[in-house]
Amino acid sequence: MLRLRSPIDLLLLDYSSTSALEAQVTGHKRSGSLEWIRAEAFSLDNEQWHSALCRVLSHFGLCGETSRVSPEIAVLDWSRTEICSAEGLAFFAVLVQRLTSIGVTVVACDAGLSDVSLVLETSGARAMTQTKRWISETHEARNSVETLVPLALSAAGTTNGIGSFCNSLNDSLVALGAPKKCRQAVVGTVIDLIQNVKSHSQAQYAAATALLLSRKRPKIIQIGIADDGLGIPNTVLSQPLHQWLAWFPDASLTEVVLDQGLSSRESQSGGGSAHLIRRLVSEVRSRVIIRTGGALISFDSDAPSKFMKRNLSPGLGTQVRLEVCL
Amino acid sequence: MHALDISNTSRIIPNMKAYEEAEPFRVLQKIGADGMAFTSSDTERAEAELLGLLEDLPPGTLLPIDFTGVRISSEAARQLLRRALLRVAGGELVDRYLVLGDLDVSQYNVEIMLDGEALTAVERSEEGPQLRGRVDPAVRATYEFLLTNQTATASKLLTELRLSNISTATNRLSNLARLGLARRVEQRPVPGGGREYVYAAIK
Repeated sequence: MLRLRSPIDLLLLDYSSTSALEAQVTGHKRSGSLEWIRAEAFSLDNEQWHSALCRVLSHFGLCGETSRVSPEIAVLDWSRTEICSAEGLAFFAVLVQRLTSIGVTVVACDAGLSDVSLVLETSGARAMTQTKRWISETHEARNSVETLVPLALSAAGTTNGIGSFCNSLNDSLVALGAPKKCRQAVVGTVIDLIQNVKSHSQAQYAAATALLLSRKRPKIIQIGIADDGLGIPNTVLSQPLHQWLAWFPDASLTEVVLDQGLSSRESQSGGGSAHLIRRLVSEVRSRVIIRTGGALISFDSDAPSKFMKRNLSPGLGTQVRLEVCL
Repeated sequence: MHALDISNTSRIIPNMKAYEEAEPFRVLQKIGADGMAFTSSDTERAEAELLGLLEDLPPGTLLPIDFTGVRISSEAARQLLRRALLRVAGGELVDRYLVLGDLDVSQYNVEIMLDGEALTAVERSEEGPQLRGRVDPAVRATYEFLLTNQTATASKLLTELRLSNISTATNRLSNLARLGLARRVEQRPVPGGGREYVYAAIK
């Protein structure tokens, strides 16, 4: 068995297929020098998978607490995933940048489904990670998801590229024939969510993208935003006035932030985005899912005044999915 | 998108004083070239210029704020507009008026901000002048009455809206003027003694 203790050992591996690679590194997964991360977990669709991902990321010291030695290699495996969500794709882009920045070698495996593979290509995810190793796959034909607006990535609080993302999103909604009210609500909400990332998250990396679920009737667009920042609970706790809330779980804290408009601002006035999200789900047939720290919160047009909350393992930054029926 | 009416046009109301319309305050020229304003720091400079401009304008001037090509978050909109609207409504900037134009996508965020700050502003929309933000039903009804009738007095409002008494009608109109949504354009004597104001909507 090969010992993967330095990046140079990677040159000795067989990258002809994902299964060939997986067979070679099984022992290193056990030893903790390599983490194999399945891309289904990037999405917020499956809470258990996502919680498992959060625990794996704690091994890299990215979230939560860990006593393990940080792995040197991360394999991000799209080969078996049937899910390609916008917030998952945005998180993938952020994660690749963040892992690389801390010296982890990233290997990515291409998707086994043709539409997911095409999204990885057309969204710019593959180009964004072009200096990392990509393993190709044979594709099974499917056509259920496509890129609406390519990934926009920003680093260290800048919004370069994210500004043009908002403009492209607006143009795409016009092209899809979205009503003006819907377009204003969706783009307006996205602008405020990005403002939150820029103002409060202290993120090193943030990404946004939009996908079209073209086979759904009516058509559905998914907009995903992800960052590797503090997350809403930690941001609010950074305000001395709110530090007494530290005993509460992330989900309860996020619930209070969204419900009461707590803010990290000294003025305490906040909650603008929560107001915005509630209004979005009231006015446009939509669903909003937020995973921030260890909290998972969702809003739905079926019950706009309510929201659902869940506790997950503490995760990296914040992910948001806006799902809008056109 | 529709363009704003441009520059130094007088809104002449027959037999009454006009209000002057200043050159639009173009937000795009005050922020980054991409037209994005995400955070309050993105609109700090624009706010300072706007407040300075409002102070320098002569009384009786309407300043259109042109959002053409701008995408603004509610936080950046708060920074840009809050103090200006509060100073107009609070009487600090007497007889100056603001209207918002070509909000397009920014309309949603501006409205969220106005609602959160309990402010009201006039937007020149494709459907005509509209009140945005937190609008009291009585304010809305009175403003729409003024829009329909061009001008109105308390006695006309009392009759047409079937209000309970003349004080209510007077309060409604003076409240609208205090908020910077209407302007007194004439004072005239009423039969039987006394005087009354004629109001026109800011639009």
